[in-house]
Parts: sequence; C-alpha cells; structure tokens
Amino acid sequence: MLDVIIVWLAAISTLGIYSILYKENPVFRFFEHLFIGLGLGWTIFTIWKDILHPKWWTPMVEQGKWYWIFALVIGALYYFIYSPRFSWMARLVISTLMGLSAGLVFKSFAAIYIPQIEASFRAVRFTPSIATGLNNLLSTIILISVLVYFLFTISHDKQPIAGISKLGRWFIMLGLGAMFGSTVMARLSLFIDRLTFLLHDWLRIIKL
Amino acid sequence: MEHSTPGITALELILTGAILFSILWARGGKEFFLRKIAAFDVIDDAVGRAVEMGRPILFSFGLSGLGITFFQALAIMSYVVRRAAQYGVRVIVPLFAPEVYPLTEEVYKEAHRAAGRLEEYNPSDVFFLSNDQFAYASGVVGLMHREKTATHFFLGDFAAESLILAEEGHSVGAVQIAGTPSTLQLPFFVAACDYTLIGEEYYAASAYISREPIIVGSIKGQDIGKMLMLLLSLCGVIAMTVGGNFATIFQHIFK
Repeated sequence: MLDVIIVWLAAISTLGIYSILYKENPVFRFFEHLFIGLGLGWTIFTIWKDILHPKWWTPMVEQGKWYWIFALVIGALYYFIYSPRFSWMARLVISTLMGLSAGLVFKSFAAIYIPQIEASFRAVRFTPSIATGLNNLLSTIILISVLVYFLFTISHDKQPIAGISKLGRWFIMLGLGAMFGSTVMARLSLFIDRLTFLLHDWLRIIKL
Repeated sequence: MEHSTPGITALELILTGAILFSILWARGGKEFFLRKIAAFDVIDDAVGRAVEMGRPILFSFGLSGLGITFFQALAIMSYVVRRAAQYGVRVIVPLFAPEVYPLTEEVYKEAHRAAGRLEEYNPSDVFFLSNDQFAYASGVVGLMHREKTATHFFLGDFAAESLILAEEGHSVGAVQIAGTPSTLQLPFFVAACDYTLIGEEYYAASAYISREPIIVGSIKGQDIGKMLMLLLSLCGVIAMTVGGNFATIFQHIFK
C-alpha cells in the first residue's frame, strides 16, 4: 500500500512540476515550494549524516579528539562579516577558502592542460595515412585559431588576427553545436525515464 | 598527473612569472589594451530595458560556491546592481550556496551605496533559495514567471539546470546574458541566451568592467602564457613533422 502511495505522490509531483510548460500556476507554485523545502531538509540531513557526524562529531565526542571543536570556532568566524568592527575575522576564513580554491586551480591546470599541450604535438604528414595527416592538420589549425580568439589584450580588428580569430569563433560554434546535440540526447533519456515512470510504474499502460 | 616534472615546473614558473610581471607593469601605470567583448557592451542596454519596462532584473550565480568563479561573477553583479540602482530597478539574486550569502549581501549593499541610492537597498532581494540543484532551478523559474523579470544574468558555475533556466528565461521574453567556465553548459546558453561569454571571456569580464590594474595585468600575463603555449605547440607540431632528434626532445619535455 505504501508503495502505491509513493508512486502516486511521485507521479502527481512530476505532473505538477511539468505544468509550468503550460504556464505558471498555483499547482506548479505548490510543488515548487514543496521541492525547495524538501531539498533543503534533505541537504541538512545529508550534511549531518555524511559529513558532520562521521568526520566531526564522532571524532570529537566519541573518539576523544576534542581539538575538532576548533573547526566550529573557525567556521563561526564567518559570521563576523556582519560586524563592521570584527569583519576582518571573517576575511580570515574567506581568504583561506580563496587560497584553497586557487591552489586547486593551480594543481588542476598542470593536470588538465599540460597533457593537452603534449597531445597537440601532431605530425602533419600525409604518409602513410592521408586521413591522419588531414586530421592532424585540422587539429593544428583549430588549436591556433581558437587560441588566438581567446587573446584579449591584442586587437582583433586588423588582419591577420581578425581572420584567424573569426575562424576560431566558427570552430568554437561548431564544437558547441556538436556538444549541444549529444547533451540533448542525454537529456532526452532523462525525459524518457520520467515518461517510463508515469506510463509504466504509475498508469501501467506500457510493459517493459 | 599527480607530480610535477622539471619541464612542467619550468613552464609553470614562466607562466606565473609572466602574470606577476604584467601585474607589476600595470600597477606601474601601463595601460593595456583590452578587446571588446560583445556580452559586456550590452550590459547597460540590458539594464536600460528593465528600466523602460519597469520590471526587475534577475541575477543568478548558478551553483557557485566560494571560489574564483563566484568572485568573478560577484564583480559583475556589483556593476549590474550599481547601474540598476541608479535608475531604481530591483535586482533579484537567488542563491544556491549558503556560504556566499553574507558576501553577496555585503557587495549588493555596497553597490547601492556606491550608486548613492542606499535608500533603494532591499535586503530581501538577495536570498538563499535552495542548495538542491533542481529545486533551485524550479525556484528560479517560478521567480521569472511571478516577478516578470525583464533581464537575466546567468554567471557562475552551472550544470544540468542551465537549459531549464535559459529556456524558461527565453519563454518569459527576457534579455539574457550568460557566462560560465563549464564548457558542457555553454552550448545551452549560446542556444537560448542573447549574449554568452564563451570560455575564458568569463574570466576577462571582470577586467573589462573594473579596469583594475591587477586584473588587467593578470589578463595580459595570461595572454603571454597563451602565446607561449601556442608557440610551444607549433614547435611541437613542426618537430613531430620533421621527425628525428628534434621530435624526441619535444616528446620528452613534459616527461
């Protein structure tokens, strides 16, 4: 019986959210607010269950690692942003997070982009394979033109930069178009999943 | 790649050096040229549209938490709020990440002060909505319809909700300006928004708006780095094409 109620609630919620496709209406508004409330409740629960309880509360209270109390103190410094006199304390936390963020970007730069530079070293030779040669030539042209497009401190009004930059923009658009197509297909599969739920699990008018 | 090699260390030092050098140069008084970015030339027009229609502006940071992406968008928000406040237009800022709320509120208030319209400042226009991705998206969509927003800014980290926001924003007839470093979401913004900041343009935006020597210098330094990498790639292509020892040297630069 509980399963049936859950399926009905899920189906009504799905249709309620989809009702925005017609226009903004009280049904959508109700489910929108319900969704936001449930989302927040769920987040608070998972933060406690997956992070705070196992990584902070348990070590501090059950394993005697009392010094974890300082995490609370440091975290609480963030609230001093509301005090004009003590807002410098909040900046300590913000600066730490910024430093962490910058460090991770620095690390990811080496991990992501350096191998790409290495991978761009491609031989533009048409033997033994013409296709590979053309592929490598195209790859090099795209690399140059797109990189030139992303130069911001040189003028793009004069040739040859203007032409190369324009070519780069075209290549970017082609790439984005291909990505758009493949991602739309992925999104359609999510929609099909919802339709399957409605037609199979709820209405039982299709069989899998 | 977990650990650096001599080649990578040298390259990173050169790139960092170029950026630091350019920042110092800019701080010394050098004014670097910055090319036009279409999406930023229309910010004032987009704000003007909201003024003419007498409707609010919606500014979303997407899923951004405290980080570089957020701070870039925050600089742009400050500019937008300042311009909007001058003409008495509301800017609604629904937030995904609770930790960015106090900062956003501060900058929002400061922008009103800078515009000389502190009396227009309404703390309830900046609010935490949800940190569940799709609950946030449905909340923002609801806001667009109820508030009948005239202009939308989507700047920050976005994921699967990008198309939901941009498509619904398009359906309410708003002018939309978007930008995200997430290349996977860019196609949706390009398709559904009027102006989109593509890739690195997102990071150049704050330099374009603020003209702060430190940020402009940083952009110049990054450009030097890009040119260096372009040169390196071209030399690599030539080396691989010619073959022989030259190719072997290039193949082992980063090993």
